[in-house]
Amino acid sequence: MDYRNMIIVKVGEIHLKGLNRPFFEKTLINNMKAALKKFEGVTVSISQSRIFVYNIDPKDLDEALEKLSKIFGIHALSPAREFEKDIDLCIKNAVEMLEEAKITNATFKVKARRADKRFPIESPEIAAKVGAGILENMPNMKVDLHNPDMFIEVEIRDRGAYVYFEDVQAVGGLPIGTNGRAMLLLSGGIDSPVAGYMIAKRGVQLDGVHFYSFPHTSERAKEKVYELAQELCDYVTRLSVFVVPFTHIQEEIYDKCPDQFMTILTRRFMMKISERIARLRNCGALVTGESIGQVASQTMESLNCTDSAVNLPVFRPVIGMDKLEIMEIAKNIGTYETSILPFEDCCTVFTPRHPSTKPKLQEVIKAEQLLDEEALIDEAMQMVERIDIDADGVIYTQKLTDMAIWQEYKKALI
Amino acid sequence: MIYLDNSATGKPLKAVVDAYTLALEEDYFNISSPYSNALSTEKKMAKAKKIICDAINCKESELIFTSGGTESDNTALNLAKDNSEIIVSCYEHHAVLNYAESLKKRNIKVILCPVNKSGVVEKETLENLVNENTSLVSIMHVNNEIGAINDIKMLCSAVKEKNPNTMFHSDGVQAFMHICADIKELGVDLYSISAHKIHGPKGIGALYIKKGVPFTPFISGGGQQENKRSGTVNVPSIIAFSQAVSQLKNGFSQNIKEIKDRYISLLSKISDVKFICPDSAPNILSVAFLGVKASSLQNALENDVIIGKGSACTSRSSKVSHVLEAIGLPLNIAESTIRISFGAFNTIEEADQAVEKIEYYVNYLRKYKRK
Repeated sequence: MDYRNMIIVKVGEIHLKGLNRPFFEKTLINNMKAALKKFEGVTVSISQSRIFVYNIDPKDLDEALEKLSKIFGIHALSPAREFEKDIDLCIKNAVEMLEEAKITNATFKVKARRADKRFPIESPEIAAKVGAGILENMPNMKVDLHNPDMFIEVEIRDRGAYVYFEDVQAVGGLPIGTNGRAMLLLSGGIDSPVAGYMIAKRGVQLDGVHFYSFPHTSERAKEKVYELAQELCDYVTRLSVFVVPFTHIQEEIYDKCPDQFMTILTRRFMMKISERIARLRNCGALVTGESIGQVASQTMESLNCTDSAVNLPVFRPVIGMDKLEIMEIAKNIGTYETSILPFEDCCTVFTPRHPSTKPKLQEVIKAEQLLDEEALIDEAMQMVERIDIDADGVIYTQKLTDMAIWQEYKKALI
Repeated sequence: MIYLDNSATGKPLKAVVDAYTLALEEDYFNISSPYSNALSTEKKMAKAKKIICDAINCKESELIFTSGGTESDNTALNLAKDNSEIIVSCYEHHAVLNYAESLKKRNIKVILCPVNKSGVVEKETLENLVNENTSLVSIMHVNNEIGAINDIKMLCSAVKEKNPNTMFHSDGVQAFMHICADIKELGVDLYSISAHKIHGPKGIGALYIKKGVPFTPFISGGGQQENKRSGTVNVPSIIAFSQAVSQLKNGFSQNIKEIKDRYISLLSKISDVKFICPDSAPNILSVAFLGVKASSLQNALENDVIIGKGSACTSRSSKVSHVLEAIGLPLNIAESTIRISFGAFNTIEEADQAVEKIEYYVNYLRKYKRK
């Protein structure tokens, strides 16, 4: 065979990077390799700011494209042929590919790019020659320079020549791992997975934290969170979810604090515990799925109360979105159906009938002082479990107290 | 762990597992085959079938094996005539309700028969719904969520009196082997039973079809079971099913009644307890602890006592069950209703321990009411 099937990967924003561009590219390539690890023999390499994927078995092509299209940092993907730099081969391969794709009756325009300036024919002439060659071999194809059905792209690069005409849109964004790490508060509802997705898209590695109120919420509600995490792994590859037993804290708040502050105090505890785990994991921020005014704990006054519980920045990427807009993204990223499964993610018992919508921070702090905060948080921290999840499900479970970072935590407390 | 969710499914008896395993290993022959090994398997199957038929007092020619209660119910309802009316009680299992719904595309009008506050279908109510166009009536023998027992004999004869051509089906899945089910005595045309509810294997059930009832197969194929239900006959499951029946034949229900009475007397001591259907079948006890959400109690108990909430088939939904709605239970009671169901492995002795745990968690959860 005088050509190789391969995929040309087009990056998005990475193009805008300056001196640290190799770092972004290297991270992206590593992420791609991880996503493609199930396909044996596949190689990923870079040349002249294009990334190339080789050795994909044709029967795996669709699945590989699907996986790659969910990798942040990739803008588009084109299944292509690579061959020797020769104008006749450009024509031959273009014709074969069109016939293979059963495209014999369409209008087209050839776009040529000559990245290897040593190649003797200039871009406009390459386009003209390839266009003429196609017309000669395929009588029903027609050129239309203004409004063609398709673009046929020819590239002449250092490594070889390429022909392709299909552009599979990918998610864009920046490669995960290029912008630090953040802790996502994952509830089991519609909003938090969307928030996680949006932050991860900016190249942020995610960890998750989930608060578990057994028996007020069920084991199945927790499983649902794992399932959501698994669905997010299509984009983030791997996610550690820290499960915090939260029943005792909720019961203490219920017993000792004014009803109208029950939810806001609960949120503050969640933030504080999340921050502690976040710091252990070197996370630079917390991420929540809050949106202004959606519920009582998401009014501006309430958000002020939750923010002031922690020192880390809190990212709320869906803060200005309507529920319908959030649902739309959830459907697109594939978490919606799981999110709406009917397992209560928070027990109504601990949701007061008349929550304060304009809590004053000082009053909230006063209410909080009715509790032995340090003891409650410490007790919860001792029972935290780390659940590692990838696209196939739960792969690893460990108690936080068994992790090396726990010793650092204890030291820091002293 | 004390398992009190036997109406969801029962743990298979040891004899059932042994019989099943042995049959899988030795009686794997296709009984439709001509050679002598297959013939010997067929004979074992016939013997097993007789045990099951005897348990409900029918002839072998009147029983077909199915994949379980759902298929039996679907097969029965499928016999409704095009362009006719059928009546089903509003608190049937979804195997009946949802299949009935699908009959609408055959221009069959589906009439839901209400039940009274005690959870039973009243004769007059049913009678008034029957007319000359009613081709089939389906009323369950024992309701799977609350254990209410319908007087099938009375209801069947009332329907037949009004329209002798109406077929009468009863879903007997929760009644079989628990309350006396002499089919001839009941007078029904069709009756569904299932093995796993009586400690047999899953994936096997049967449908009684009274001699002379016009029958159309629900599943077509190689013409097995006298062309009434195609598909290679599931011999190991049938043999295991018959084992469960033989094992339970002696005194099973008697003992269960005692266990249930013991639970009622112990649970009565918990405050604000409400028994939903006091005259229920011996295997099912539906009870509400006011102010305690059923799902929370179920969660809290799960390491010690396993109880049910609604029927297992629908309890993953957060809505209140259609059965509790049908008997007009107020929402606050319905949300607090759990189902305790007994089986062959339960003992009177464990009742104290189970109720102690239930009481403990009821009291614990009662501390947390929505403020």
